[in-house]
Amino acid sequence: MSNIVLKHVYKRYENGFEAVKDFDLEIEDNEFIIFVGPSGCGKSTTLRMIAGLEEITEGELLIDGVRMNEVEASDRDIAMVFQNYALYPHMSVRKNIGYSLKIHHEKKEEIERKVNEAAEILGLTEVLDRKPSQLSGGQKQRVAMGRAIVRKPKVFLMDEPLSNLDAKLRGQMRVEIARLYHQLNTTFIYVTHDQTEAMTLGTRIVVMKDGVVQQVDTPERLFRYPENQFVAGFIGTPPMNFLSGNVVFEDGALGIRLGEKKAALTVEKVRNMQNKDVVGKDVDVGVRPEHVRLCAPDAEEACGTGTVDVYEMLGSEAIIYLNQDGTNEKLIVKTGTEQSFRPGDRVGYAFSLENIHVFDKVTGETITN
Amino acid sequence: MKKITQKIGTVLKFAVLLLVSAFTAFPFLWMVLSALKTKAEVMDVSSLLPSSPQWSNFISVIFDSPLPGYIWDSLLVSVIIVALQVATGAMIAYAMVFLEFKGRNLLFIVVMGTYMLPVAATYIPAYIILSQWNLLNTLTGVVISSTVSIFGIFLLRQAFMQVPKGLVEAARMDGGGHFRILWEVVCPMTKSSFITFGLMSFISAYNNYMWPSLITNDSSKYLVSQGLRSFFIEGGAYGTEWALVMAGSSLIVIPLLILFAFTQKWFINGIGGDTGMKG
Repeated sequence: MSNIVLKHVYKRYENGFEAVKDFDLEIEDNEFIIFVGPSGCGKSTTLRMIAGLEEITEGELLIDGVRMNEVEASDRDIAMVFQNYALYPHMSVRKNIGYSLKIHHEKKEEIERKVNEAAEILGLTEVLDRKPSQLSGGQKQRVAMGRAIVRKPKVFLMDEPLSNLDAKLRGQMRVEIARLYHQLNTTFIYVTHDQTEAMTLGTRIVVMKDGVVQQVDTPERLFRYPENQFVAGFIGTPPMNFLSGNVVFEDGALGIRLGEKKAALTVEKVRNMQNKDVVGKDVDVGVRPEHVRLCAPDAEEACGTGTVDVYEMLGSEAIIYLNQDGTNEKLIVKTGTEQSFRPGDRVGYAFSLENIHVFDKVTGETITN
Repeated sequence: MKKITQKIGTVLKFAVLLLVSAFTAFPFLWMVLSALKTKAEVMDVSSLLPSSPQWSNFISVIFDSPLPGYIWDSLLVSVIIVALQVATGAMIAYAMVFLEFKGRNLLFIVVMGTYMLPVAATYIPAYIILSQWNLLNTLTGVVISSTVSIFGIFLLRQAFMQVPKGLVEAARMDGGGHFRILWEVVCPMTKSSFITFGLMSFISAYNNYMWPSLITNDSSKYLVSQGLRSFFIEGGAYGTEWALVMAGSSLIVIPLLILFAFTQKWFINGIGGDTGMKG
């Protein structure tokens, strides 16, 4: 059992730079938590503070109710997999995996048994007597994981463990990590900037930007109900489109005006907006590329028109980058491949209002969730 | 034409290397050959080789002089000094590279500042300290005054900086304390620097003449360089028996040659192994 609580945690460096600001999170036992965000958002720093490799400037870290701020990394019963594996080059795979057990004075036979067990799980039995320099990238990665699982720690920390692997291997290892999580039945905290890893592995995702938590939610809810424009733009590939508009109240109903066009909002969106003073507000309307459909430029349903800039055929689907008429802003459309386009083609686009997200232009906060 | 130019280049290269090697090796060769000559032959520059090798010179030095005792004492003192300098140097270098603490840069500046100080400037304060501790004229005094080597700290610090910090962090996560990490993770990865430093420290301690001469005056406390000078040259029992001086010098060099033979491969080795880390 391991319950981790971060209470208003800050990381401030000597030069005054705040890498993490007011990080507040409770992690339940057996959760797979993902810290995701762009480079420099403070996700790795937060992980390192949990590990004990970085001092907590302000706030509290509790593991199973015990304050850990002053506890040495070696005494926290936490295992960590590093981005660059951090294997001891002078030790064989066997010794690398068993090193922590040796430090904790376990009996030789016990170390041997546990190392073999971990090697079995990770498919490393054949390479146990090799040195790290004789291993492939994927094998090194597995050894790093073996070193972590052999201890049966309370918590696993993983700092971008797949970022050094090629795309194919990354996909394979992602599946292995998911399987490992179900096998080991313990808490995982995983740092990545890859949203595919975040969405496929995590039970909950913490999205961070500039040291501040933007949203903590399940992958599905993050995708469907982003709390602000940053989350909406960060989660989802290709990213969400944002169109400038404003909220109007006409004919007894709330609606959105986009350029010339005006449309009434769905009941659900209006219900969410009811307590907010939104009428007349400038907003950014977010639409995911998969929710935009192309039509003829003069079609009745067209919300706007544009010219195809780039057409990317990906096999089962295609990504089209449009330059919108009038504003010349980019609009991304994800569509099927039944019809192909060429740069310069003029098209119309449309989307249904039930799929849009509306964000306050000033604060970036959602006003429709 | 190109082939001929290449050949001439190779020949010239070898010629230069041979010349430099000959210049470097000649004093040593001359010492060994002189050790096998008679006293008269040493001074006769017309012949490099002895007319008949005088092996008795070596026998005489080994059995009739206190030199073997000096060699033994020097070896003992040097080994202890090397052990102490390696231990202290590694600990200070580890702290300077892997530990975060206030004044870390200042410490490095102070250490480097000390390195720039002329050795002679440290003689008087060191002498006074040893005298206050009643360690003058003792081998313990010689050892204690050589506990820390600034050069060693600098050399090991540079080597430790090549070790990826992530490895030390991984070892901390594995449960290792700093001492264990130093000796079981960092040290094996920087073995060549340790061996280089150990050897240099040994040679310097073994050959040291000035400082031991200042703090010891009892012949039973002499180290090998002092012993050689006082016994063979300074109007000692043999007067200036150059053949014996050369035989003594040749014997003194033997432990160093053995050490070189065992450790030479490490000089050419850089930091070893693959951590999977980028550094």
